[in-house]
Amino acid sequence: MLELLWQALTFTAGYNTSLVTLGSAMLGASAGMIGSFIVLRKRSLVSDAVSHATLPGLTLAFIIIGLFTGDGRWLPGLLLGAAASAAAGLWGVQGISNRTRLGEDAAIGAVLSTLFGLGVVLITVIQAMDVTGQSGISGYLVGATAGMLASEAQLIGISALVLLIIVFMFRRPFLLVCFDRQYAYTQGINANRIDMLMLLLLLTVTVIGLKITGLILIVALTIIPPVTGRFWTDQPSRLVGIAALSGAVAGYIGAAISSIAAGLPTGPLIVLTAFVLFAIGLLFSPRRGMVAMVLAQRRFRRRVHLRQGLLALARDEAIYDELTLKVLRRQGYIRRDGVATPPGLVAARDAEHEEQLWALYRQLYPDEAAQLDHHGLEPIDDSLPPDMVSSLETRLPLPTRSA
Amino acid sequence: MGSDFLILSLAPLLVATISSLSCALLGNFLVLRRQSLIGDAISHVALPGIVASFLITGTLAASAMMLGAGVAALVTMALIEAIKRLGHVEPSAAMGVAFTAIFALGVLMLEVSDASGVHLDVQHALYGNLESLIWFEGLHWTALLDPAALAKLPPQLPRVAWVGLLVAIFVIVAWRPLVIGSFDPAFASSVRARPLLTDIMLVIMVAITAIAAFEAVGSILVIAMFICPAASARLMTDRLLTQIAWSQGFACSSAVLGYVLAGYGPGWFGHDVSLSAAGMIATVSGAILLAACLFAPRRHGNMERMTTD
Amino acid sequence: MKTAHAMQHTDTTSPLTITGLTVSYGQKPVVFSVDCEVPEGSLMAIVGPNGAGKSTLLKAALGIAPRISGDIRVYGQPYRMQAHRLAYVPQRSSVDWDFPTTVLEVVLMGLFHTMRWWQFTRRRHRDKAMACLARVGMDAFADRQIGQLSGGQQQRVFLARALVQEADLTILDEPFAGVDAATEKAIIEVLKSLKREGKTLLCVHHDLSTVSEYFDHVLLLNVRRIAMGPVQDTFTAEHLQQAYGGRLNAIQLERITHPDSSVSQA
Repeated sequence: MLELLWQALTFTAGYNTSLVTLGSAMLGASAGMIGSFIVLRKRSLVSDAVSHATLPGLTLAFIIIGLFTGDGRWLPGLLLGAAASAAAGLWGVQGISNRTRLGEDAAIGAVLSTLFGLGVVLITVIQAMDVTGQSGISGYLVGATAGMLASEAQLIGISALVLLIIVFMFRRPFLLVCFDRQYAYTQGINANRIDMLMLLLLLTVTVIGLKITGLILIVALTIIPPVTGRFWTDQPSRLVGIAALSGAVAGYIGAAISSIAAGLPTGPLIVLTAFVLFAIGLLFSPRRGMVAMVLAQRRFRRRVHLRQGLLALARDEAIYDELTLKVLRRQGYIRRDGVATPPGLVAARDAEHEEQLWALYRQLYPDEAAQLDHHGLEPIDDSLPPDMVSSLETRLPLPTRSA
Repeated sequence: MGSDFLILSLAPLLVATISSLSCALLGNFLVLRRQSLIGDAISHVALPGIVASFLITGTLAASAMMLGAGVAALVTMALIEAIKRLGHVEPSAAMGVAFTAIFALGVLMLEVSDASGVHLDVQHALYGNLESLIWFEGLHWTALLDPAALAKLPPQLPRVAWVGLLVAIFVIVAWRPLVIGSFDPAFASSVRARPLLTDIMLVIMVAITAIAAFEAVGSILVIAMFICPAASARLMTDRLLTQIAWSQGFACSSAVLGYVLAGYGPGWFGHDVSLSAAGMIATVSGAILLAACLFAPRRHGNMERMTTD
Repeated sequence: MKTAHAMQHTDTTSPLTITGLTVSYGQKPVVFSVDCEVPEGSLMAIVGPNGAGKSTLLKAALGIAPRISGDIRVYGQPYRMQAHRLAYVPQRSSVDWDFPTTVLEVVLMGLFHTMRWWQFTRRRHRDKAMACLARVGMDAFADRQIGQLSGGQQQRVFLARALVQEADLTILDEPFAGVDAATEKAIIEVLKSLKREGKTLLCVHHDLSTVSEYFDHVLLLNVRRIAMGPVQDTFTAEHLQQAYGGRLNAIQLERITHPDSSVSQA
């Protein structure tokens, strides 16, 4: 079992398997890249509508090809049909959300379900027809790489590679349009045209992915890797890179795992691999991961309570909050009975002093102060240059000036 | 013809109509809250829920399946919330991550286990099988008055009927919190109309309805039933009650028209086949929405909203 | 939490008492350790620069925004027990005005407390709502779809919804934002008449030039509390300087704090 997986991962498990693995990796990379732009534009689920909308075109193409040749399984023709109806679906979503009062959510849901419904009707037409290859159609729902022809794998691999190159070439205008349309206009970029190109590439990825992940799961490859990337970086260009990388890894590992046994479906395995990568980011990313956030939030909460408690001590006010009392006690600033200890009094005076320095700073330099995220919760010596601190010290009214 | 209709068409037609009506009723609130895609997410994860419940219990009993799908729906909603809040991921992306991953898990479990052997297959789950709801006792119109024969009606029919009743009661009972929470959540919580509880209840009702309808029409077409009639009705009027009435009319007519077109349509052209009724119902509801988008009196709404997303 | 400025000993039936309230979005405190006590029967403004946490303070007081620390009392009790004595007017921009409902139905939402959930609206409910609409001059619009209203009219409808609640304390979030002059005048008349009836009103306000004319108490806020008290003592150039810093120049300050000396208003 492990040996087979190793063979698949090292491209020594036969020509076809290698081709599928490589093709999946490239598909994952290009889907991750183009998906990044779509997710950045907050239109992730548009790809859901696009992918479901491929079904009627796919089936219609199958019917037409079948009528002429007797066998509907001709991949390029099917993909062309799929692309055509996906484009119609995209146009439908745009039209409904731009020209009527309905929101994009309703537009997406309506388009994906009705076009899928139409596709299902056409599938029953196919079943009533006398053409071979009928069962092949269901492979497009959840993907099937098992019986893939070498020529098909080559087609997918080459298209994915071309797509990858195009996305790479246009990454800068794409980012600009996602980030700031108006600015893009002033830079002589036709934002509408770039938007169209983005959606066109999304559509192409979807269509190419049909055979590998199936039309219901391809949407995952355009959403999960970009969201994963978001955990690791705030820089858009790196985000695209990380999304491409995690998409490629997901495609590569997922396809390799699926090749080791007959019944293992490729699409779900790729998606689940992508999800595992996502979950790792969600939990452990040092910047936005759950563990890091929970710890930071806890620390922040305690810092707030500590500061509020010290200020209350300094102003000789009663403290009732349990957490505040606990934090102060743990620091040794108050005794069990709530009376301040000598170090507590010193800390309280320092806190009060610092609070006044901050107040002065906010009053003198309100705009700079507003830009500080912590609003004066950090020690002032850490946040402001020493000359500024000493200048504030001298301007402080005398009685509160520290010793 | 009469008995043919009773045996083959009565139960599917009723199931389709009742499911459409109850889905459309809840759909009104989903569309107004701009949460249509919750229906999308929930119906996608019904399949994994059913597969998981089959793997655990080993039966395909309706109760186990519904329970499994219900649990899957709640797990998905919790996962979406968790990804959204803890990972600071934008809502639609969080939704896309969660439901595709769970759907993938379902397909994997289905293919790897033996479940695919026992008439649980992906296509069935995706586009249902209305045509299999046959009433063998419906030999004559008098059977409609015969309790023994009525008891032999396909069990899906009473199930969707009960769910439909439940949905209607929910909407009537929770009407005021539902409307206030949909219109102005901040105000709703200030008068303690419990917007959060209402949200959760709405999601649970959507899940129950989706699951009941799911068996008959399949998961993806459930989405059409939730969204299309309500969205079309939204374009017809500016009154909520009128909108709901329109949505019920659209739901009913797309169910009946879709079923008739699928069953008898090819016959009119001399082909002795029938098409997928569920697919046709979705197609008809989409056609109605298309017509509404082009001609409905209130399709543009009020000016300012047009500029915002 | 605490930091009660000897507040614990004063009258506990103040309509709204906030002690040590801190609210943050992520790691950034939006409101820090704010104490505030709204005197009964006052018409009080919350004033401060953009991003000072004015709306957040209200939302935290109502339990809509989560707080890191602090204690909120409405008439001496936790908010949930006194919710029926309080009316909230959210920012107009916070709702979807394309929602399929009429002016009258929006006002009837204010009766949520007084009606059992199974109860239908009756004639007396509608009469009450109509009376409140008449008070803001909107009774002729009762059957309009809300999307057809102008910004000022929408704000009047929101105010009517609060009136129908017959609350003792009314909290308003920017009621004068983006409304026409006539509406502003109508709204302040209603607020002042409520005050004459002994009600308490708390209002986020952004127009410094009308503070002294409209309100009797003011809370100056910029994340922290700058000052609080009667307008004539609190709304001073010094305090404003502290809240707004260099964003206000001397001439503006003079005009704001001594409106009588400037050109009289229209």
